[in-house]
Amino acid sequence: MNAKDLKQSRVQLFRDAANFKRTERIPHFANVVTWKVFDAGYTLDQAMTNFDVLEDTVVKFLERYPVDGLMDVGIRNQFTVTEAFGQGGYYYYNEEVVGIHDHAHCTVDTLMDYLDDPAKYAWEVILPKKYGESWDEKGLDVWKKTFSEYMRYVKYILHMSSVTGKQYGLPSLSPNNPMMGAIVLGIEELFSNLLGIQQLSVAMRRSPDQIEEFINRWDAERITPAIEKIRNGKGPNYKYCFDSSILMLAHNVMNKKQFERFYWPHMKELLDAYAEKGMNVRIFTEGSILRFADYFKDYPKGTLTFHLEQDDPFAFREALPNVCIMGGMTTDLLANGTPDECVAYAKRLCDELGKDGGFIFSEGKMLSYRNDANRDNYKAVCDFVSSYRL
Amino acid sequence: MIDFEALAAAMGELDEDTVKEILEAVDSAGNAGKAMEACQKGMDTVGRLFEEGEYFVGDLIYAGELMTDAVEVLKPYLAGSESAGTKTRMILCTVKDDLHDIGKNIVRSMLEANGFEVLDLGIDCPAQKVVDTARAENIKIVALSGVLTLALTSMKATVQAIRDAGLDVKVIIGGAPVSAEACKNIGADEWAHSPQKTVDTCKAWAAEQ
Repeated sequence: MNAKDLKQSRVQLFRDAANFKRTERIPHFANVVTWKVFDAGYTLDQAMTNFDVLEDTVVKFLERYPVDGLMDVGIRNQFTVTEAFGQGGYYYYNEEVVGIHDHAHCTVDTLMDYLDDPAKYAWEVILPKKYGESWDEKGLDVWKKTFSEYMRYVKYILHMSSVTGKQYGLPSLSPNNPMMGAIVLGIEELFSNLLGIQQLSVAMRRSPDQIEEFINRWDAERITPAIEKIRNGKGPNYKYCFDSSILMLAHNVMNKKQFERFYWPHMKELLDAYAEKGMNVRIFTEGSILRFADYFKDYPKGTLTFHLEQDDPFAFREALPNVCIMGGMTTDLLANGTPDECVAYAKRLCDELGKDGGFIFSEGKMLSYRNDANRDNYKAVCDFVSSYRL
Repeated sequence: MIDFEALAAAMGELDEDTVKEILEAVDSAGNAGKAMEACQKGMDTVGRLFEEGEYFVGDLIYAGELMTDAVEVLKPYLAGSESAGTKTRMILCTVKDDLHDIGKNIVRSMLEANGFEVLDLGIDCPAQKVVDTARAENIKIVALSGVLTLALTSMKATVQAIRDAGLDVKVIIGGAPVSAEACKNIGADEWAHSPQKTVDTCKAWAAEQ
């Protein structure tokens, strides 16, 4: 099979699994991020700023492990752009570690200023906070240098898309949303960028009306138009495994009342639009989503796929038999088990969760660090999943 | 007349305005001590409601802020008084190579609310610093926090360093990546995802001392 046909057959395999159709084999979406850097013999600081090294890590991974999809093709956690912009204390990395500090660009009182004009707010508030008074003098030069690095980065992304698609038949997971960018609900923007975990947690208690006002305006300006485009669009896009990908992080700090007020009404409107058009959505959840399972129980099979991080996949299936599961393989086992133990657990996952469709094999936690998986274990699991026939 | 029951209830309900209002009436070491006990009782309620699923992580962060503010108000009255009492001292830190501090800070505020004196060694804490502090301060309980899977490696190194140093110390590990399997592999005495379990475990260990 040539790469083009292989790519399309994998798209179909993912779509069939997500749609609870019985498939010949279970697709494997490798939730591998920076672990592959170590596996290819590099350190993180060698890879994060060098596109040639990054490409080599991806190629070596795809040559070694027979997977159907890959979370990161070397475009995540690279630092040429952020360093040109003056990385500051946001990201940190060394030979073994890469991470992000919790940060906040706004306070509750400045949220509306940000919404009024995000670019102006960034130029006049966020960047001077980072660079101090000298920002006005050097701002344009920094911007030019950053833009130049950004264009190199875009070129690399396009190149890697071609390498993974045309040489290895790897499909793209999902298209950009109709608004040309990731779908980010207002509450998620507050959590990840504008307020951060600490401030948002306190603000939901101390200033709930202001939080609600921000979310309503954010979603009216950004999510409502996206929903209109979904409703007026052609429906599923069979060039991709999923019609959309959504990230859920902020639920990890919320109690049920807060979820009902700040999250669910906006999420529901979006998911309902996808369901009406027969489109499928992959929701990547960090932490646990099981305590909110009831909210998702009425969607028809084929609409939702949850990529689980910490939830027990068997308990999740019991709670939400209508939702496709992506995930299941634990880093504990990949790191500390034997190849036989890993394969036995992988077989259990495939047999119990995938015999009637509705299961995509993947690793629960992103494989990021050297000890997140033992190479022999990972190889044994990949070989098993790719060859196992139900 | 200060209504300490109302203070405990307000803290448990995370009713900031009422907590502040009641604390404004504190004017002596005697009622400051009782106010502190009421706040601690309220924090017990917070922990229970977390265990029951009514509260979640954001509520614990908020409760930590309320408790910190309350301690600031009461501290001047409590300094040197009998109410300050003798507390069990313990170490808490986020392990080497992990810079996450929110979970650690939640646990610290709940431990302090339950009467522990917490030596917070901060984030990215080397194993040797834990060993040196435990030895110098005669610490018997250590709580290691982490969010990254990488933290498991550092937790293992820290527990190993504690054991190699021959210290008689109980170790609990906590945070997203820990599990029963990880606990066994790391050689810790206990593990927890929930801050309340951490508190309960440390209280049990303190009672054994």
